[in-house]
Amino acid sequence: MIIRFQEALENAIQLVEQHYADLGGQPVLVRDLYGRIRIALPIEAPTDETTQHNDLATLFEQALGNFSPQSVFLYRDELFDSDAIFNSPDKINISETPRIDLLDRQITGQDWLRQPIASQTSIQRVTLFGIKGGVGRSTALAVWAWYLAQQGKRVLILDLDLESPGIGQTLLPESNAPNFGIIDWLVEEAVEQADESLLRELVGTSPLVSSGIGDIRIVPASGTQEKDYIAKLSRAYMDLSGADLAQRLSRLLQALEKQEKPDIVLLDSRAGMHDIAAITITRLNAYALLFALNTPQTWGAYRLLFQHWQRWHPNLAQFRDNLKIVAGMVPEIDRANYLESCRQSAYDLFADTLYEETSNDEGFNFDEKAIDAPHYPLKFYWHRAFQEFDPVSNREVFDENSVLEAYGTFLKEITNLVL
Amino acid sequence: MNTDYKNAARRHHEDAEILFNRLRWANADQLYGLAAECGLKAVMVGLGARAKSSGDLKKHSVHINKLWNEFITFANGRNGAKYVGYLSSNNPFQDWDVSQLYAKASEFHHRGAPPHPRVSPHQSAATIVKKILQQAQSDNLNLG
Repeated sequence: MIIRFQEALENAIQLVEQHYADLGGQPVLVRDLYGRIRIALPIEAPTDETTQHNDLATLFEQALGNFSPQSVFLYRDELFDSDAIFNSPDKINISETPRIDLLDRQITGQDWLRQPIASQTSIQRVTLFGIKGGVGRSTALAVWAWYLAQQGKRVLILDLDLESPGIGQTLLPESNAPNFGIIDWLVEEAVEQADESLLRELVGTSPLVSSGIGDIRIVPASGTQEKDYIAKLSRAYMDLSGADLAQRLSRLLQALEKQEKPDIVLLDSRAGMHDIAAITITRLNAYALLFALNTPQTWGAYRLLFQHWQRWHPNLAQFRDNLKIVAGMVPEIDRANYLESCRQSAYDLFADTLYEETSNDEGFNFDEKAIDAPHYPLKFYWHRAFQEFDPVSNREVFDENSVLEAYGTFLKEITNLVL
Repeated sequence: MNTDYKNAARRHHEDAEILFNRLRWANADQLYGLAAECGLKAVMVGLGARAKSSGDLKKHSVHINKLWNEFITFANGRNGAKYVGYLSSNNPFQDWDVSQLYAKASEFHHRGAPPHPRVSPHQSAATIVKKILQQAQSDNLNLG
């Protein structure tokens, strides 16, 4: 019988629980990049060849199939760097009694479970994210930025949708675009020359707001000098020694905040379950807008992510209050029913995963109809005027009536929520 | 003396090849194991390993028969993944032990030319580690 990936871990946990007394120490299950599982123990390797560990290793082989490694046990004294296992910050407690920890080695995606990175600035950050594309995220971002600037706010926008950049071009005509973009900062920082002059040349001012004290400052993915974007993109996600991608982005963000002194920072995140999204939603202390169309595929995809958080996240409480669903491009016909169905789907998603079951008001739990609940959607409407959205060549798109019709409640509500 | 895994890996490997070509199996085998150990340790240090023993030559007690598996469980993230991909999940040095330096030469007896049933798999594995080390160098890892 073939043992599949997910059964392997369940079987390993079960075996470790059953044979806990024979282990001789508090175990850390280490799942390697292939999904093979080993038992690391903070003890010296037993000298007796016929220990219970050999019997357990045999059981492991049977229960884990190809996900069983050649040597099941790792002992502290036989490790070159035992801290990398026993004191790893990625270690997750998966069982209290008996105490079992899991260290899940992954190639990408570890940021979905890591702690928020402390920041020295306290400027409000908002991430705009869609688990699927085509939900009107970038257009909503542009309209909201315009609205905030009209109200006298200094808005800083970062285009972190590096594989599918756009918000820079949407808001900056060529003449206003800066020489460089985020992609340049990432490759230059890797060779230690992300200096202040580069930082100044990353930001352009949108001409869409021409009066008053408010403005929109944009850090595009690439600059006007760009000649080799893919060559840079293919290097951008490097973890440097001492700073992984999340820490590097946090550094960039803090440097920009210090330079720009904005009232609010809007992060246009890449769609889907990508590390950029993991970082912008969970690690940068941002309020996270989760855009959704009311389709089964949207809720299904969010569910995969939320289940992962629910099952593994040791720091859920540090960011779950910052989540908010946004119903994007609500159709013109039958709006009330659409929105109600959307709210129900969002509630089911949260209730099945992140909401806690409590008998009182304590804990993370909300009524389905609680407007301030994370699941209760903010909304904006589909509107002809915002299709093929190109405000740089067509300023009239920011006609007050169209903006109010499509985005009126969204703009008011989201602004109240975060500022 | 100070630890220099990268340099040690190279010299053990070069000398192992010389001995292997002269059919000096026992010592070639010993040095392939040490070369692979030093090579993997160099890369681990480059990937952020903080071994308590570094600096003190006398405290190196973890050898390739254990280290191969540790490397597979140690490496993670984008940077580590590509190195793990080179290593087979079955440790080819499972039957290697540093104490074999006390063994009789006849234990390694083999008539005629390579492949040697015990030493040749270690030679192949040491070559893989050499490639990993080269890759790590061209990736600019700080190999200590």
